[in-house]
Amino acid sequence: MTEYELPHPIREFSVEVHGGLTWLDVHIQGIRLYFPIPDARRVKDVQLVLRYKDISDAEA
Amino acid sequence: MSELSPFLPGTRVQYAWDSTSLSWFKECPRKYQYFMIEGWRGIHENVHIRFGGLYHEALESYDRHRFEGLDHDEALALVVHDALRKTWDNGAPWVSERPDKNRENLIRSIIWYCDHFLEDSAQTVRLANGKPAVELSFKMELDWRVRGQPYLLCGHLDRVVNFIGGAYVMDRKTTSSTIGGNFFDQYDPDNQMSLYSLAAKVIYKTPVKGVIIDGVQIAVGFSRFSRGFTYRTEAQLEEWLNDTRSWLALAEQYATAGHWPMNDKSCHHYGGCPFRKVCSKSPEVRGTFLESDFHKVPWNPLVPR
Repeated sequence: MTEYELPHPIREFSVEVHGGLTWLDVHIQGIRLYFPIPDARRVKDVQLVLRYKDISDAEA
Repeated sequence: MSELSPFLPGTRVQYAWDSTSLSWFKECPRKYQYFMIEGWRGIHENVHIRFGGLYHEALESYDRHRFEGLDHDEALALVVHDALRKTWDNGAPWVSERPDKNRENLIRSIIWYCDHFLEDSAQTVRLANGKPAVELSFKMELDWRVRGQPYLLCGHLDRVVNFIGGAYVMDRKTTSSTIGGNFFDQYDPDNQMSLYSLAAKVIYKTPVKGVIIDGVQIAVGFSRFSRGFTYRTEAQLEEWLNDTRSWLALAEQYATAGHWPMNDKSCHHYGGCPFRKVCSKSPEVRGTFLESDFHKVPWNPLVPR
C-alpha cells in the first residue's frame, strides 16, 4: 500500500510502469508530478491512497 | 591560497569524494583515472555541461532573490540579464553546436520554468542562520579512515524545500528526451540522489523525506517541465553507505597498485564515454591521443561551488 499526500485536489491520475518501476502520474495546478509506487510491479498490483492536505490549514 | 587536494599527500589515494568522482569510478576505473586522477577534459566545449550549469545558476539565483523578498518580475529580470551576460562570448552571442541547447533556448527555459512554478507549493527552507537553503555545499566526514585520514563525502545541493509539510532536497535536470516515468526511473537507484538524501539528513539535521527532481525537456521549439520524486528508506541509505565503503576500499587498492582497469562494458553508456576513442587505441599510443584531444582541468570535490 502506497500513500501520498498531495498539495491540491486532483480529478484524475494515471499509473505508468517502466522497467520494473511504477509511477503515479498526476497534474496539479499545471505541474506534472511523478510519484514512485514502490510496492507494485504491475499496474493491477497498485494499492494507492491519496490524500489532499490543505497546507494553509496545516500551517495555521 | 592553494586548494586543498582531495588526494592523500604524495599519493593518488582519494579521501574526499563527491557523486561525480564516485560515479566515474563505479562506471569504469579507467574513466576515473583519466577524469579524476589525471584531470583530462575534452578540449571542445561540452554544450550539455555549459547549458546545464547556466540553467542551474539562474534558477538558484532566482530562488535566492525570491527568498530575499524580490517579486517574480524583479527576480526574473535579474537572472535573465545575468544569463545573457554569461552567454556573451568575446563580443558575440554564444554559438552552440546544438539546435536545442543554445542561448535562446536557455533564456526561454529559465523564463518558462519560473513562470511554470510561480504558484509552486514547494517553498525554500529557511536555515537556522536565517539564510535560504539554496546552493548548499556540504562535506560529510565518515566513520572510517584511509591511512589515518577520515573519508569525506562532498557535494552541492541545489535547494532544500518544504513541500506538503515535509522537507525535500530539490535537484534540477535538463534533457533532450521526453520526460515521463522512464526519465525518473534512472534516479532510483542512483548514486547522486542517495548521497543527497544522506547528506541532507546528516548535515542539515532535517528529516528529509526525499529528493524532488525538476526535469526540463529542452526541444528546439519548446521547453517542457515535469517533477519527479525519489525516496530512500533508512535501510537503503545504510546499504548505500556500506556499498560506498567497499567502492572506496577498491579505489584505494587501485591507487596503491597504480592501475585502474578498463570496464569495457561501460564504454557505450550515456551516449558514449568521451575516452572511448582513446581506450580503443593500443596502449602505447594512448598518451598521444589524450594530449591532442584533451587538456587538463582537475576536478576537486573539496571546492564549493
